[in-house]
Amino acid sequence: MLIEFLEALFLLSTMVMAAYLIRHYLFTIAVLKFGKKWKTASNHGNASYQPTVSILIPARNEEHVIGRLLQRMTELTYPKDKLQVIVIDDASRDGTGKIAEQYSEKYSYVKVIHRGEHEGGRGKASALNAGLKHALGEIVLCFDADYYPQKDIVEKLVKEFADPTVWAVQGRVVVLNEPQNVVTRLVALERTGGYRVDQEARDRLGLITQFGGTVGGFRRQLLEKLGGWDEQMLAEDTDLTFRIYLAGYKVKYVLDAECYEEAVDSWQAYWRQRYRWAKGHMQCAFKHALNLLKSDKLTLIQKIDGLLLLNVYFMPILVFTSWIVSIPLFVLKFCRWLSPFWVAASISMYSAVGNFAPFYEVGVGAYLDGRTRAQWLIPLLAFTFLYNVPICTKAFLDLLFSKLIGKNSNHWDKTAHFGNGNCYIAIFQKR
Amino acid sequence: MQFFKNVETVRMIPNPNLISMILAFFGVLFFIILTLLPSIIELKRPEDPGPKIIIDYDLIYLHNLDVKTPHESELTSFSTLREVAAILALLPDIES
Repeated sequence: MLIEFLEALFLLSTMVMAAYLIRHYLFTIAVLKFGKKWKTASNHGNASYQPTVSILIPARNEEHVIGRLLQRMTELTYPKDKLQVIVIDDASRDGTGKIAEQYSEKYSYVKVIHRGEHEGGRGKASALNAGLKHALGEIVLCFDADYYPQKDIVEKLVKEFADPTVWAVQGRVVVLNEPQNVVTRLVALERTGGYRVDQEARDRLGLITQFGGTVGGFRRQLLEKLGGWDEQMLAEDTDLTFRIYLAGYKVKYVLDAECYEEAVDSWQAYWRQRYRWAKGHMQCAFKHALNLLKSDKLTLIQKIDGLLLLNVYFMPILVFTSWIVSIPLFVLKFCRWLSPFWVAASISMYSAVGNFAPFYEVGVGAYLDGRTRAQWLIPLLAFTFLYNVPICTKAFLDLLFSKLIGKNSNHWDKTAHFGNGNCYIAIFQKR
Repeated sequence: MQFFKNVETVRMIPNPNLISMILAFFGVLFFIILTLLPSIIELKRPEDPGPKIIIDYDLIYLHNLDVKTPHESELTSFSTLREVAAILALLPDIES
């Protein structure tokens, strides 16, 4: 009985892995084959379309980076009479509020909202909702405090809204402090695969384009209709993405709207960030999976893609489980229906191809960016995958435990930023 | 362990002995080193020009310094750019 159960578990996990493998390959091949054609045909927005825009910048203890972003906001090429920049100083204990105030005094379109200890510090969703109340623009864009956008990014994002069927947009994130150390270099590779290939393919193939929580935005009307961000969710961006699609709207990905971010630069910070993402995604999976399947506003292929996207952080756990299961089945030879050849073949394929299918996206993304040398680091991504196994397992167990005891454990463990990208920006700022 | 007794097992290594174990160990070790070799080389002697330069029209200084354009810049070590950036940051702004 136990052997049958283990065999079934192994088969199930292999089938789910195969689904992700096929998905990653399809995305990679699609971008490789059609990427250039898509890029040349991407000027579909109306560049002369210039609605009023509000930019929300939630900031908690960001004194090392907030000045850099606000300076950049003043350099944006979008007409300033149509621009409103709202900094939400979310109960900061450092000089964030003071720096933001300096810009507010100097530039009339910069507004600062100070949140005290009693109302602030409850997470990004809460801060964004506070900012949304003050937003006057027809379009609402969001930027994290550690970001550094192109000067014309607002035009690039906003032109998509000339199409009345577009209700939300997402731009591309590029890691700024990439050369800092091996962690930032690997995060940059992950971002390359995610934004150069994965997001682009999902958008172009009409699947679920994910709003990443920053470098993107919405029609204010949509946000008001959906009731803003859900403050109970740790991955408020993924949650909003699915609420948008379930309500019958879509998110548009704009590949050429690029923005720098400061990536986490230590394994401890990586753990904290990914733990939050994993737990948040799992929360979203519990919240939206059933609604997704029942939705009459999504196509079958969108539902499948949505399910795979929602459950992506369960994969390291599933893969780990299948490794464990394969020990009694194959190493201790209790499996009765596979010959040694097929066992060796399946394990080799599973480990060499199946687990690492996303790395093909990374490789192609780096290739399309002209970063062939960066591809040399791809084998190291196997370690980040292994590192994600305990992260996702802990996130899952913690979420399960909090659900069992009925306690909401939505502690927002914010990523600290130290302005490590400043030295790289200096070269662009000196003109 | 009763339920395992009736199972007909198939051994992947029919007669494991010391030599086969040593060979397997070194085989795996060789495979791992071979797989990681490019990464180790790139980490020891980084030649990737990253990060991706996305702020094209701000590159006037890069051109003035005869640094390669972004597409050609694969040949340029980013550490050099970083050093240049540090120097530039210390210089007074001649436009102001």
